[in-house]
Amino acid sequence: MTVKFTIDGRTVEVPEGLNIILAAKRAGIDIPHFCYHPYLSVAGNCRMCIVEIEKMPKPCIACGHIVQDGMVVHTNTDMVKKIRKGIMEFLLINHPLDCPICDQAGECKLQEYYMLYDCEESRFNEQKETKEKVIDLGSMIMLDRERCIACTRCVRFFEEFVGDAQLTLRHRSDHAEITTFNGKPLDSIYSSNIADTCPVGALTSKDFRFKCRVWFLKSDDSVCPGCARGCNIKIQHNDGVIYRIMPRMTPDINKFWMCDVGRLTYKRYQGNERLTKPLVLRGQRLEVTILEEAIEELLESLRKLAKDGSANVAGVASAELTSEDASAFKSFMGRVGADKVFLDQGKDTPGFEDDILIRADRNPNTAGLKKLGIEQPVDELDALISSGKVNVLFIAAGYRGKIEDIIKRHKDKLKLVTTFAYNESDLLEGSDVILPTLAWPELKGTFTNFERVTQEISPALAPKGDALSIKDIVSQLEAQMERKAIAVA
Amino acid sequence: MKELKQINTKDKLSQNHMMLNMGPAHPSMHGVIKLVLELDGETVINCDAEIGYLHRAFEKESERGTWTQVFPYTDRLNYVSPLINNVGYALAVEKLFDVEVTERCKYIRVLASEISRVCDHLTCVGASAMELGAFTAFLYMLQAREYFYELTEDLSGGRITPNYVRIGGLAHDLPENFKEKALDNIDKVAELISDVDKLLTKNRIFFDRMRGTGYIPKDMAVNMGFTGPCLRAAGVSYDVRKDQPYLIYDKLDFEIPIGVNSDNYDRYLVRMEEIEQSLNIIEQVLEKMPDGPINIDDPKICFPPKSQVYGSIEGLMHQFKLVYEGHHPPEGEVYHAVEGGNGELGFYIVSDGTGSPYRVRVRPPCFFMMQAIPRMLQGEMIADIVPTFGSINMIAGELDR
Repeated sequence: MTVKFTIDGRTVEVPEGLNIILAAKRAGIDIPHFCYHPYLSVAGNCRMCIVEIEKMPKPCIACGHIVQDGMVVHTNTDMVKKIRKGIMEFLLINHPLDCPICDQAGECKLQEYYMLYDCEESRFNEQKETKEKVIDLGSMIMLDRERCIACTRCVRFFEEFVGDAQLTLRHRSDHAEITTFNGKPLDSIYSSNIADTCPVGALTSKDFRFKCRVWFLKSDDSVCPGCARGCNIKIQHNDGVIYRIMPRMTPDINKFWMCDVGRLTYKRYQGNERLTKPLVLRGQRLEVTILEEAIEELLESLRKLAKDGSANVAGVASAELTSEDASAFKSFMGRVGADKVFLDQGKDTPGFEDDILIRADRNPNTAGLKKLGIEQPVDELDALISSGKVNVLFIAAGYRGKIEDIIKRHKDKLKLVTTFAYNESDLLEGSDVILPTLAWPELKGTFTNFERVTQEISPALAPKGDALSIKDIVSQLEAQMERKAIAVA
Repeated sequence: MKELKQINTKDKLSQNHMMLNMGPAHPSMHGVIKLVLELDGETVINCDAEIGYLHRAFEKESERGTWTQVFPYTDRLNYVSPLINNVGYALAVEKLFDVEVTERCKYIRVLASEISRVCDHLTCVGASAMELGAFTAFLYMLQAREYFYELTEDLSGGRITPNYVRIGGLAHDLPENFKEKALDNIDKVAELISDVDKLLTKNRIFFDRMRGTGYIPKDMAVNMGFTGPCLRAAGVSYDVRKDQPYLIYDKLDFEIPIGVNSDNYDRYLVRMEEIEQSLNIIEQVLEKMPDGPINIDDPKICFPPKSQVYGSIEGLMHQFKLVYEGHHPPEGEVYHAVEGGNGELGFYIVSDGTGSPYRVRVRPPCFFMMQAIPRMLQGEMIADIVPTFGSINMIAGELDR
């Protein structure tokens, strides 16, 4: 069902049930607002979205009125312009001069609306109200009470989305401030979302604090690798370093939000543990080499083992791999005679789960790998190695895989272990050949979440060192196997 | 009328002609430019100009920052008359915004432009004279230029990198006592000009070297895109200040000197006369200068005063957004030309509505004279290259950008 309404002289048809802000957006008109949020209840306290609706006696808030058939709305009359300037003036009266040190600068609604709708000089000659600044609220949030404009988005977020009202607005008029109950620290894995929803710099992310100015950041669309929910995100980076992850709006999966666990996953890929060069075990030491040599030596060892028929090959794939990498890995496993490819869901699975976003399965692509036929849990490998039924392993490693412990236990029983990994880990001690791969921020591919929705990820960073995607390494391996006519039964 | 011969400069098998390389670093060449000469004894058969040694990607760099961040780059176009470049770019962007600056700002911009024009002509004539051996004239001209550099420094803080003009106004107003100092320095410059005139204009050697050399026919000059003193020396009355007046040039009383013979000597005379005219314009401007604000009253274009920036959140946010995000001119493209020291200096600017220019194209006036150099030098002697090249006032910063 649709309704027809007129806005600024144009008649537009929109689905019914939308408020004026959303309907105007479809007509290409932006109505400024602070307290309104499409996924939170309407508060109507900022009054910035005021528009004139014909036949209504007073100017009305656009967030609070559902569009009706035949409604005529004006968003740009003199009165509306004056009201917007008035609202801005009130909000800015006690606002501190923090722009140079405020993280929100560059994505701050006050700054944007000032330039678009205000641009008036200040008439305030009194002393500004001072409040506490730099308050560690807990979890990932830093609070600055002076910058708060009391829009209550954060209060409503906790009440409605998290279901646990941890924040409230206390005191009155210009002493109003955000606080937790009884001074308890904020305790929620969804706390980082209020740094995004806060339209000003009152609530900021502790993790991102003072790291980078937002206009230097480039954005690439991706999917969070933290769990099987598959929240859509943006990787924001500059000059090869990821500074933060922001959620993307996806109504069916994560709406506007994501969890703190997912937000910090980027740290896995940023550290000094990144593998950039192939490593081969010669004697007792792992030596740096080039990919061609590593492949040479690997295939040589494999050929020897295959010749005396003693190679019992198995593969282990982390549920973190993209479906494309997993598929290439599986077909390569077929070529080297692996009976099975085991699924490694990592040491962190199962983690805690709630019915809001986070899933117990802390891998982004379990469903994708299961679809490819990789579904036997890697724990079964323990018994198989002990009984000698598997002695050659190819591991496509993820972050903190269960395979790390299994390798440690059975180092002596395994004759040849090849690891495709992006981070240094315990696997390095048990592996004979280590090939560096691309990690999530550098990969192009797809993840399938627990609801069987397949989503694309885009690379944000360039490959590090000699790392290649598993797909590319595998194609080189297969080409060399072809050339040397190595066949493993 | 000179006939042009089609000769292949790359014909290395030609036994009669010698290829001689002049530049890029050469005592008698202005800036960095290479002329590959094909000589038959002392006569130049043809020459191939190689430009681009000072290409610094001005046009591409302009796309990288905000609209205001282009001004320091414009200083370095024609680096002998930097304020004219500043003014030209600012006028083009203001045309995009469809705004006009305040009266006082217009007068100060004309003042700045004419000071720069005088500096340009002083340098050109002085350097040309030096290359012909008249070192005294050169030093006198440079002393005169020093007086004007003092004025530029008082005005903007920099002698040749003023970065003085802003979109919608100026960086700051005239300093105190500027008028007195300027009038004083004008007198000193006029005296020096008069001395140089006595040294050069009727000087036998200077006359013999300059008269009849570097000739280009009038219609060829027009066809090749000449503008400025070189075109006026050819007899064509075209000056952007008179024909497409901008700022307050239509209210001022000045004349455009026109030459007759289109040779180096006429170009020298045109420039000398233009210096006199510019000094006259400066005096008129200082006389008529109105009071008032120098920046227009549009907060989307002009920066707030510093007291507001440090004193109120509104001023701070305003400054912040204009500096970090840049101005947002409406989408579109404009061309605006001003009269530079060498001729029509044009800026063709394309805006996509964001804080960075989408494209900034500069029409460099000396480019067109440079392309005519082979024709002007054909059949001349090597010794004629020096005054000819000097008289077109090739500034590498403007030519190569």
